[in-house]
Amino acid sequence: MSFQFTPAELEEAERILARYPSRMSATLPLLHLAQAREGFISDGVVEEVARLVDVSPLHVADVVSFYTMYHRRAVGRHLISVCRTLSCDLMGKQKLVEYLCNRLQLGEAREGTDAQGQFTLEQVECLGACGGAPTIMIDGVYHERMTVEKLATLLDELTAAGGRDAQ
Amino acid sequence: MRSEFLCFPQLQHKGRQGLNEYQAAGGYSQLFRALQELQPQQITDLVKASGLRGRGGAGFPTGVKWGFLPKQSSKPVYLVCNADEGEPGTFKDREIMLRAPHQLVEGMAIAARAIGCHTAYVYIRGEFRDEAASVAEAIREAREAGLLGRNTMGLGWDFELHVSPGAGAYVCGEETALLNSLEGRRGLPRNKPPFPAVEGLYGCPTIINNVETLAALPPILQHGADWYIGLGTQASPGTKLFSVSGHVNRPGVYEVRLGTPLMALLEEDCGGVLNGRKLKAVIPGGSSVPMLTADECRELKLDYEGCQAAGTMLGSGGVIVMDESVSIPHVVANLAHFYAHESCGQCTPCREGTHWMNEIIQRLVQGQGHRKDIDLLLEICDRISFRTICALGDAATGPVRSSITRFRNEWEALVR
Ligand SMILES: Cc1cc2nc3c(=O)[nH]c(=O)nc-3n(C[C@H](O)[C@H](O)[C@H](O)COP(=O)(O)O)c2cc1C
Ligand code: SF4
Ligand code: FES
Repeated sequence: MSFQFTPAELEEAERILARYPSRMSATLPLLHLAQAREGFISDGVVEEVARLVDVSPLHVADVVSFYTMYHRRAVGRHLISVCRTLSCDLMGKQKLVEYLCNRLQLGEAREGTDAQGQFTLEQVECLGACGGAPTIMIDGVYHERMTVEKLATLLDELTAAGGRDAQ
Repeated sequence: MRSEFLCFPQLQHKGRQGLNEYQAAGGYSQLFRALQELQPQQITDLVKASGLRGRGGAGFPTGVKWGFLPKQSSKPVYLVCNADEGEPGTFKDREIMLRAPHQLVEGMAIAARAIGCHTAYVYIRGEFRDEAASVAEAIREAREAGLLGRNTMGLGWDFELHVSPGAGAYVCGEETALLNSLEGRRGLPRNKPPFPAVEGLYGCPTIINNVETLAALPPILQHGADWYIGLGTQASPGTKLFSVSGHVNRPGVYEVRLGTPLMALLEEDCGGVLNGRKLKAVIPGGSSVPMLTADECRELKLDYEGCQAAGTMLGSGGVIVMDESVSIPHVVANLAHFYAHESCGQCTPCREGTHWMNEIIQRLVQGQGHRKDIDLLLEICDRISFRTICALGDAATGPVRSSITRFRNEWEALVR
């Protein structure tokens, strides 16, 4: 699957590249730029980013595999990342995970995508927002002091709106 | 109330301080002084005299670190701000970036001037999109106003500052892993020496400082070293931001004078333990530092020496509060999973040690462990300590060792 940045994205890519004395330094921000539109890092993205930063696709693929924010496979239309680390655990993240696993019918897996491909649930480590525990992220947006009720409303709204919301 | 917001006044307010507001409050006047009145060496001397210690976790004296830069070098010098904020229980740098981004920008410009740097980066964890946008906007505003960029303030000094994102990896908060990540590589910690001050970003001399450390510079320059020293204790000058989370009524970020009793912060500012329950344990400096019992907490003063005397560390100032309902082995199980997940795998003791500790602890909390597992855990800790490239391995032993020494009965109850 091939991937190309749009002209507007290419302009942004040039601005990113200009920040560094080495093209390779633009690897992480360019991957973010691609993933913001594609939702994941396809082989095409790897090749395009490798071409722009002037390294081998193998090197970029290796870098991608190191960082948890990059997804190598397509995720659902909405990505729900629940913080599993200590402060969020103390403040009840487990209830959120149970609610989500039930609602998305994920069974024993505790992570994954629902049958409709609408929501993907992942559990992540400390999001650096422990004062608002339990904290979750939906499509990159933080939601703090989360409760099952608030979560239900958020998911209902996303379901009603359909599609992938503006990133 | 112990919280005073002496160095970070904007943190009392909800909103983001824009350029106009920051300048109205005297913002960028210290950068002007740093460029106009002071020699770079005088800035470093002032920071040394203030006793400011790194707020990222290790507490290393900032001015001393700057002094490690080679005196003569043909290579450019880089300044990197560590805004990875990944240590569980820590969320203070985020507040600075969201609400007082110009104070960070000014602090970085002052530091850059002191160390002879013309290009600097703020490395912000990838999940912090709003924080990165806030800092990028502050940089844009400052550049437009002529406070950054070419010929800063018309004083003939060039300084460029850029935001650079991470992408999800706790270990990238370790300064040399951060540099690799910033270069577009996997975030693997580097062997030291060479230290970054000699060979850092792109092989050039590099200073890495935490957000809070750098943002503390404008008030220190404004009020002077004696003022800053007077705010804290002898060994711990100044104030510090504490991120309080877990079982308290008012979690949040509080600035207090170093030397403040922990219980005063918890009771007066944070409104005490949640639902009026009893305190069981506190991790005072982020998940990597040893936990304390409630009794130990009653005596604890929040400063470097007080924490050390109590057998723990001030670390990043991430205070995690646990009430009597908490099972300590469960807490440690949570953190064991964290460290096993975040170990980069380069060093065998850390890779294997964190993995096995996690396996053994999960087994214990599921009631399938053995009595000898408890001592086995301590043995694994010993095998990790001081045998690794970075401090993550040691960090992983903090909760395990301290919980077994202080709450051994809870571990033993699992194997009865
Ligand atoms: C595993 C690990 C994670 C770290 N994470 C952070 C972090 O998120 N933020 C930070 O400022 N320092 C972090 N540090 C400490 C840095 O290596 C470094 O000491 C610090 O950024 C120096 O800045 P300072 O002297 O201003 O504190 C971490 C260290 C280790 C070993
Ligand atoms: S101590 Fe652990 S995290 Fe640090 S370099 Fe070694 S394996 Fe990686
Ligand atoms: S523990 Fe969940 S945000 Fe830090």
